[in-house]
Amino acid sequence: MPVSTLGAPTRLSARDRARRATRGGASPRSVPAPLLVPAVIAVAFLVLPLAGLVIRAPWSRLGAALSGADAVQALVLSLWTATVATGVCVVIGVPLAWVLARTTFPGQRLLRALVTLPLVLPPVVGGVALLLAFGRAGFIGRLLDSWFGLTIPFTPLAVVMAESFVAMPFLVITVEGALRSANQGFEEAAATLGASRMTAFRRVTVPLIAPSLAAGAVLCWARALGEFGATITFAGSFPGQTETMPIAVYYALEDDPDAAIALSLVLLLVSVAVLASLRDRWLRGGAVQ
Amino acid sequence: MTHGEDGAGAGLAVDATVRRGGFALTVALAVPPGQVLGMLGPNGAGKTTLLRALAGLTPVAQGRITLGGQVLDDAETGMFVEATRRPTGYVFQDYRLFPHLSVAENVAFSPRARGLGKAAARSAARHWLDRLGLASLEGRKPAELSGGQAQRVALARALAGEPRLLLLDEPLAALDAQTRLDVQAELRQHLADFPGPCVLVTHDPLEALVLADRLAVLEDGRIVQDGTPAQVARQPATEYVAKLVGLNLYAGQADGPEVKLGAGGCFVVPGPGRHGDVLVAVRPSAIVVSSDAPHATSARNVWPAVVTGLTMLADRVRLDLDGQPSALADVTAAAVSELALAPGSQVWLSVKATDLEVYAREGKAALAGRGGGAAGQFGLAGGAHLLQRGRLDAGHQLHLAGGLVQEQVEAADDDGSRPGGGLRERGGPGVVHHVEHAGDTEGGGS
Repeated sequence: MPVSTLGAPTRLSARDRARRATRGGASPRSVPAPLLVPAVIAVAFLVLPLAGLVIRAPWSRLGAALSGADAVQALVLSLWTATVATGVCVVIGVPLAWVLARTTFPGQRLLRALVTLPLVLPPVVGGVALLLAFGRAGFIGRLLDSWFGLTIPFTPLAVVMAESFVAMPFLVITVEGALRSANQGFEEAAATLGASRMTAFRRVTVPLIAPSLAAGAVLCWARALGEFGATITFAGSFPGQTETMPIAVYYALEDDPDAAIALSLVLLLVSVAVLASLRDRWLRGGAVQ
Repeated sequence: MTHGEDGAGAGLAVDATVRRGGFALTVALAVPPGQVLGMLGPNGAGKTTLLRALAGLTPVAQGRITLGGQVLDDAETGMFVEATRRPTGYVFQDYRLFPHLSVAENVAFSPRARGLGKAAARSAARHWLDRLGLASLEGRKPAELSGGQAQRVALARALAGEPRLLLLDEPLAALDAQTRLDVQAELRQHLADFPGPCVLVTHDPLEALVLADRLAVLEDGRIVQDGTPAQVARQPATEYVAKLVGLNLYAGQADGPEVKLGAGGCFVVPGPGRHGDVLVAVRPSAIVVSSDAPHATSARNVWPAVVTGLTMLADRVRLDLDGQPSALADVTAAAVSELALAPGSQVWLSVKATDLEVYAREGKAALAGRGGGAAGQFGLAGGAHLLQRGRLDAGHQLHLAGGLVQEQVEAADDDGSRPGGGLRERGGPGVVHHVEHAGDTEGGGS
């Protein structure tokens, strides 16, 4: 009794034949139900809330809701603090990425873990930590206060610091990955041509990883723009001073839901724009780097 | 193997061991200024490791490297000149042109990195761009260059730093066959103009023969042979070298006029006779193939064999023959059809004793019974390929191609009895004529 028998033929349309030949993928109809059903649920779960946002949006008075002084203030504050935070992350994060990628030293793994920590740390915890370090009674904040009369918490500077703290790992990890996978042959070539490591970094390495650097910066900026927990803990929510868009949305939900929805729509739009700008890098199939 | 007298002056002297992973490369060599040393060896022999050590990308584990008497690297004293501070130009196998910089910026990179101002670096770059005929490409990005152009830009970029030592890693390996021939002749000219020592590594014997003044053969991290191309071709030290130059090579025990071969069989050899371990080299074209046992022949060596393979070369057929000993033999296509040669055919082989090159075997190079093989196409037959192209090319390239073939014919034609003796003249107005003779000689060998 043979184990394998010839099965009955099924129909395979010309389109399916072409699909299988070119992409090697099956048509959606041939996906097994135990995989298809959860997949559809997942899509619904991700898409429906966003659809709700769009459906419930007060389209007729959108302009009015957004032109309120608070909303404009919050938007402006969010944009500039996220941009400054991204700048800070690039200036200190790229050198950190280089050190992690190009050198070896004891404790490097520990350092890498620490750098990644804000990715998994609840942002509120980050905010508390910042407060304990840089708050008026914090061990650094106390010194800053007594030496320079500088108080950080509940200022726009605190917003920038909270956003940088949370967003930096996105930049460092992206750039470090790019540096690791970058062809070090170019740096060797630069060395044989007489370039010091700094010259090689500036004139060869950075231009070569520019696309990854840009992607990392965009991710970093998007994370900073959406920052809520660390910011509200460390910087509070003073309108015009430290009340960023996500915080404004949260408070508006209580007394003016339409404004909250309008503000959320703006953030959704920004996120879609960010995603679009990263499409070549992130949406081209599984590979991230 | 060391050329002590060359070590002084502005030359390069290496006597060092370089380790990379579990691999160890031990070399002792000297390259005088103006000489191009061709480092020939199979992949994994340590050629690139050597270049990296010379460039300062990999420090030596033992020994030292000096250039013009100045220490670049000395494991004993710990002295080491960083790659950045070495006066070397390195042409990488994959060129490594900076993709985000234009051709002009690539070439200006080294002058700029070595401290020239922007304008001075640009004018230095312009000089080399003009010299290598790249002026019209200066605005292009490396991705917009053909293979041959990229190769020239890589050379210009290396030379623009005014190096005192030039290193080339498989400079032509990335090019297609046609481009390679064009670039080869040009590159030879530029190498001839370079005043300092130059080390060129390649696994392509033809490249080495055309570009190098002297050959060193590297196998398993050791130099197994070092000499002029003609010397190496005439007396290959190992089976690998023999394969490169397309010779049959046999190891054996000499006892007067007879050599008992390690792989079976026995040769009657010319001359006063030697004793002890020897190598016997036979050109494939010196072996006569007959369908019946030849009687009344002047050939001292006659033995039966079976054809196991036929390979079409440019102007002849190379037979792979199984016997005592096995051999490669070159015959014309006409001979193949006349004798109805096919795999399995029983034939008789004969070689005149005077066609055997016998020399003492040095070292403990492991040898199988015979040389030859497919690599032979790159040896003598390769010369013929080049030759045919040479006819079509410009005058100076033809001259270069002719030079190669002369050298090879000289190497192979040791008894001088074949036509085309005029080949030994170099250059002159009759070059074209000689080159064509060289072709005839190669083609009509059997």
